[in-house]
Amino acid sequence: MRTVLTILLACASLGVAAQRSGGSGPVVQLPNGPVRSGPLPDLPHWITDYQRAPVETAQRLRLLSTNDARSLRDALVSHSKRVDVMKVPGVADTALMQSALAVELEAARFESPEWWQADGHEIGRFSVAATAALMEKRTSVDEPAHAWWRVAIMLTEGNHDSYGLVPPRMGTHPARRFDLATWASELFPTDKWFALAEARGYQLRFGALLEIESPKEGRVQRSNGKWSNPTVLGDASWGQTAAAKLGVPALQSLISDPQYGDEARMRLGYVYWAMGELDKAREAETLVVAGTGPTHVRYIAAFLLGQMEQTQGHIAAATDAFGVAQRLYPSAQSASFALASLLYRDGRVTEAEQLFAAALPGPTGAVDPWRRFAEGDLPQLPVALATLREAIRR
Amino acid sequence: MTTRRAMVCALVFVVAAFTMPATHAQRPTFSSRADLVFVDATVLNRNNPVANLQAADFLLTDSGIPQRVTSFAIESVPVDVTLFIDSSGSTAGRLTAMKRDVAALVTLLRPDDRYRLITIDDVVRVMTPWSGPNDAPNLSFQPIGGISLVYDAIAAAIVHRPTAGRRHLVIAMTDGEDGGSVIPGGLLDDLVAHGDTVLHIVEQTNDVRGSMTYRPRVFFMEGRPNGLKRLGETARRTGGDTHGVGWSRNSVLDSFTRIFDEFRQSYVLRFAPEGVPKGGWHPLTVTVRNRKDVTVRARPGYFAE
Repeated sequence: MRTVLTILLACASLGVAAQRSGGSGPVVQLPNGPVRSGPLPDLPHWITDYQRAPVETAQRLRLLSTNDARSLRDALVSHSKRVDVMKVPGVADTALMQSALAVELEAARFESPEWWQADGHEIGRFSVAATAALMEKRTSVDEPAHAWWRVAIMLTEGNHDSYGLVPPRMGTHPARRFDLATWASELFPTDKWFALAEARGYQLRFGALLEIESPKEGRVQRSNGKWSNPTVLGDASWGQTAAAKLGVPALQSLISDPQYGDEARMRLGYVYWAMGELDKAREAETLVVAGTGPTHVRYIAAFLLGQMEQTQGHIAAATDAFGVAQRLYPSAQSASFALASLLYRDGRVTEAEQLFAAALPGPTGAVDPWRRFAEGDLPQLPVALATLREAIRR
Repeated sequence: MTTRRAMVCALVFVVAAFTMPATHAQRPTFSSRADLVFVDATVLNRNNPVANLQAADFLLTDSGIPQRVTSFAIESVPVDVTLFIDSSGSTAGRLTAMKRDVAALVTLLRPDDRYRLITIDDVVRVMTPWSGPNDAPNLSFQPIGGISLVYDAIAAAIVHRPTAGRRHLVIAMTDGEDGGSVIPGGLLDDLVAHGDTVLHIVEQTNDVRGSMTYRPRVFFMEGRPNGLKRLGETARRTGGDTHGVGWSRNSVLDSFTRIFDEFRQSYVLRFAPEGVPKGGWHPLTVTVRNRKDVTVRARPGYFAE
């Protein structure tokens, strides 16, 4: 109830802000464009330059003290309410929204229960509500809007903390309507990328899926040579269970899609595994590995197969599967480490040492598809932003 | 409490490479197949290393069967030290102190010693490759929230095999909270039991500033609890231990000094297993005859192929 109220209040405040957009205050010039009324608190240049220097912005955000972060958040909220962030398309607006999201995402890192439950969520809800209000007014399906949706979804699903951005009242339509991917999927029914993003949303909400040791079974069971299963639905909350079950038909509907079918099947296999349906999970991942889909998708499928077999104590099969993954993506650390650890335990020390050494990067670089499993298409964000800018320019 | 435990710890490890480097290259550690088993032990009396013990002073059992210790020696060989800084969000408040401590630790190394520095973000990284004590560590990294690949990092650290005549020590500065590692804790236990690296954990708990700043990603909220206790058990399987850190500015450096002192003054016991089954897990016990005033910590066992 409180959540709904908060969202309604945020939407209402946006409406007020929009009505005031032609106010009589002095014009405040931001680096990316004018603001209609002021005065407004200053924003540091690295916030307004977020698009040009996202790495610098992220680094600076991480170094903020608690008070500075609160001040910045308040300033951004003021700007967001004053500036018509609903006005899509607009590079400046998009940059500001991104900044607001970035601050929210960093704010979510604060461990203080007060911050987490109140402040962190408030700005998260504001961001979502602002986006939702925008789309309520603008149901445009033109090219810029399409590009904007992609960027917005990548940003929100690209950070695990964005879990708190989407009201987690699973299975209830009034809450789901604020889910960006669901809404975009309704606006752009022919673009299956949005449908896949929606399906990924269910999967993300299941949470804790990346753990192959549950808290209750965190120790090796040496007597039978098996490791514990991943967190399965028997241990999951009601919300997680509902999310996983909702995700199955969403993913099933996509597996025949020529562009996104492989990823949908790979993720479907993962959900099956988490639900304890191992045979279905194996079948799905095996098909993906044997297919001709994107390398990173086949890599994750092979890696998942390895984990499935490992948790069952099928070490030879796990070794084979991790080996397939490692050959698909030799520089990726996850499969290399998983494979090397099994080889080492099996006495194949030299091979294991070489694998570990080759998969240990220096101070920079290294890409691991498994580390992006929960982050959707975030690595594609620069491309999506470029597309958005180009669409706006035209 | 862990500090006090550490003060009475002893180290046990296997150093087959010292005498049989050619054959060692083909197996993870050693086997009971007509091979000699090397066990490193530190003997302490009220936290002070005990010197001048002879082979006959030790009573060593393998699978409950007393073994004949054929030789022993006090080790004074060069050491390869892998330093691991847990740069995840959960220890962010300690990061500056950890960097300072690492820089100080390097000064404790002897001219023939080497070190490397490993950290974590979305992957495990080598910030400083194997370097001499005169080479400054690369400390230009920032904390990262979210995943915490502690088990992966420790696994990558312990598999290093030093060249013949050297020993390998891993010192991990962490709170033990793992999230997202591909190597489960149970498998990590197996790995350390197969290798001959000694692992010590120097506890890092977040201060108020850090805990207010970083929050683990929601994805891993169901991560492994009691991380430090769990990892301490892993360390003790190598003959190492967990070292608590007090509020003193120098407490971490004190821990480092203590770890080095114990490691360098350990005894190496050698025996050819007799009367025990081949293969599998071999539980070990090591005691000092007629000395109730001393404590020996021994690697609790070893895997034989």
